[in-house]
Amino acid sequence: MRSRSFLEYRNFLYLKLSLLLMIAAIAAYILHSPAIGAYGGTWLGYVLGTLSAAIVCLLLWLGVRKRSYFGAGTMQGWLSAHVYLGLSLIVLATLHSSFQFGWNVHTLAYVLMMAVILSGFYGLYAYFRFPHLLTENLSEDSFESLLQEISKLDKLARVSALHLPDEIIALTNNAIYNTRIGGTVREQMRSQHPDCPTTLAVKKLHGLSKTLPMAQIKTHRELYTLMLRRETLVARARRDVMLRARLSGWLFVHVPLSVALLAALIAHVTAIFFYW
Amino acid sequence: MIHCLLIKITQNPRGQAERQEREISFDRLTLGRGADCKIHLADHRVALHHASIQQGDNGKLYISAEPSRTIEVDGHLEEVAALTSGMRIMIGPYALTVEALEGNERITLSYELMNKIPDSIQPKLATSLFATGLSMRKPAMWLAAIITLIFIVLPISYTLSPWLHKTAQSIHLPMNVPLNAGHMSPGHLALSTKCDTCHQKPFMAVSDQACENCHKSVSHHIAQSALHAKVFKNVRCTTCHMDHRGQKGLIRKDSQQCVSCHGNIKKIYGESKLKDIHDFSSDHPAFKLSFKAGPDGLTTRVAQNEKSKLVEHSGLKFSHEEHFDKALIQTPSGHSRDIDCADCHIPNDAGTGFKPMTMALTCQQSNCHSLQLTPPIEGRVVPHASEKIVMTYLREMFASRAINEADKSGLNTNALEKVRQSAQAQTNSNAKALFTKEGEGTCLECHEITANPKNKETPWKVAAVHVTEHWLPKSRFPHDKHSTAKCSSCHDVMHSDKSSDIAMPTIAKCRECHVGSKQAQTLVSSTCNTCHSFHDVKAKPTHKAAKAE
Repeated sequence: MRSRSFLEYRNFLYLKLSLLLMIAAIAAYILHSPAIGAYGGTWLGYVLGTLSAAIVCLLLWLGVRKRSYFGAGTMQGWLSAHVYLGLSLIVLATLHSSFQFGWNVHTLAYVLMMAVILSGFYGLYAYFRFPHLLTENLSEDSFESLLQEISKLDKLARVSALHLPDEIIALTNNAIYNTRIGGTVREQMRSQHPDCPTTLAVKKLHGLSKTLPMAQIKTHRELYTLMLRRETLVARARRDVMLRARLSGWLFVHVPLSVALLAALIAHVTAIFFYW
Repeated sequence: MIHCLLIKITQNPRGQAERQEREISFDRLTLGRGADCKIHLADHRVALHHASIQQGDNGKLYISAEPSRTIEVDGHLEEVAALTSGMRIMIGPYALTVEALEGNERITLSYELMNKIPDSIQPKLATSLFATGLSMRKPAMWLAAIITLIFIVLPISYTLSPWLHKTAQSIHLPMNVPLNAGHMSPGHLALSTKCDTCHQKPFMAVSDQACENCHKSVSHHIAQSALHAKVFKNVRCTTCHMDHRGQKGLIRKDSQQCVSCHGNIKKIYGESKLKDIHDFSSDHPAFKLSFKAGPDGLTTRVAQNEKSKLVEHSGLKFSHEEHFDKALIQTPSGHSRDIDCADCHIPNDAGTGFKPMTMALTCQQSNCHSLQLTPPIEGRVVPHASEKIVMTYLREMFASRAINEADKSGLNTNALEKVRQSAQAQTNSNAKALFTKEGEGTCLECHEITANPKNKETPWKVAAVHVTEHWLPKSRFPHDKHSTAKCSSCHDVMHSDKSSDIAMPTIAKCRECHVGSKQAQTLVSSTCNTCHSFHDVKAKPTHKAAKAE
């Protein structure tokens, strides 16, 4: 039986609620049409603004709720509400703003909110795409087991290469010592590593086989096989790092912007009532 | 041949050193990773053939590195070195020690792997974003702190602290600008950085007093101050006038606010005699014209549907029809001419209305209606003034002319009496010509004149003239915005032969072009504000003063 995703929680309860909110808000906005023009200060503007602010606070509370074993509702329900209510904010907050934007804290709050929602959309995409790819990549291995396997290969490669020419030793050493798995944020995120020392060793070892005496051909073949295997394992390990980085990377945007949004929202509300 | 005791030092699993000795003889002792080397140093950090030991020409033993290889002799990189007892030579990770040197034929060497390669030699790199030092908390806190500082702390401090306010303004850095909710209306643009002009107290709505500090002469909606205060006790200036709306401005142009009261006016004020009104196109009552409806000279307001009462008493006799008859219109020089409406109804400077009509401006232009003496005297006309002034003018002019005549001819007293009587007769005949039907009745052409024999000096009385300038004083009608229409399309004066006729268009005429608040494709949308102004009562006390009553 297929496991139900959090998006389908209680037969799409929060999607329905969110759609209802959006349709009601759009209908109210069209029917309201105040004579002085729609803006955040009309009764509908205040209703939409209050609702939007409440939803933002509720969405932010997910950060607290997920760190607690206790609390109302299941995490699946909270996450479902987080996604769908976050989606409804696009409509509610936009109608609250009445499409009036400027260089001020009010528009800043709106822009931050939209940035948070957009990063959330990426997160949603990441949660649905990358775990599957992670499992597919690692199969029955784990990242640590891949590294251990690579270490084993390195030991064997060092032994095999002992009796081979220095050029081959240098290539092997370069592959063993300088192949980077992980590293900086950029290295973790990227999928292509064209300057990989292991790949370089594989390429050059293939060409060097013709220059070796017969006695060393067998050893060279063993080393080449080890390096090929190493290249595959390194690629899988790197892909694992990349997928995990891409799976969690959006949170480094989503979470700080969410906190910034909270600050901007407080500033927005404070400004409205301070200069009432 | 050199004899060598070779000692290989290794460590057992407990970390204790173990020595394996063997004797070898050689002419040239090779050291390297290669299997053919006599001292096999099995580590990839050692070259295939790294170095060799052999006897030099002087009989001494030397160790020399292979080309492009180096060895470290007692801490110094060397290519060749003479062996001495106790010498320590590093070849890659191996330490080769000369334990003993007996002459140049016997030597004891030991070697030991000093730097063992660990099992895992992969670089220790971050394999998760968290391990890179990337943080969610730090940027979150920084962003929140910066936003709080710029958009809460500084603006509020700027508002509350006179020192900071003054300092920031001196460097043209108004700190509350980022909180501005929207562009100011054109009239308030100068206040864009002076929030406290209107927002005088934090967390308090803009007070009426803040508005009245500048707008000192705004009129009420209801003339009776007490009633105004009662009806509008819960209404503030900002109920209608919202700023930060940009070009939309402060003034509401919709009818909603007006209809909220005038749609059921009795609910607001039970004694009101006004009719309920919801829209210009549906239930707006007939226009009420303000004019002199009787000889008493009092202005009254008469609804246009009370047609029997639509009779103006202006005190004038005037026929529009005659003025449009070309045959009847002749200048004093005898030329006939056409008259346009604008010849008499001259637009005022604003273009919205007309200049007041006067004898000089309206009736005597192009020498129409000039007041000649009888018979005419060159260079003399009767002034258009009150009957008293006219009589005085006639008496003084003819008396002056008689005295001049007497001076010239040197007449005696009896003759002077005749001159005086002549002057008197000329005065009387001219007065008769002006004021009576027996004469030419020049003034009677336009004025209603009654005899007043009791007054010997001025025996005629000219009825007071009241030319209506504002027929609908509670509304505005910009004539310049209707300049595309002919005057006669609204004012039916072509066949009006009496000054008592009223040629003001009715509401039905307006509705031919104007519809109410609803949008219409072929008609002009018109709200209350199109014609009426809320603050149209000229009497001021201010809102505050009214409340105090």
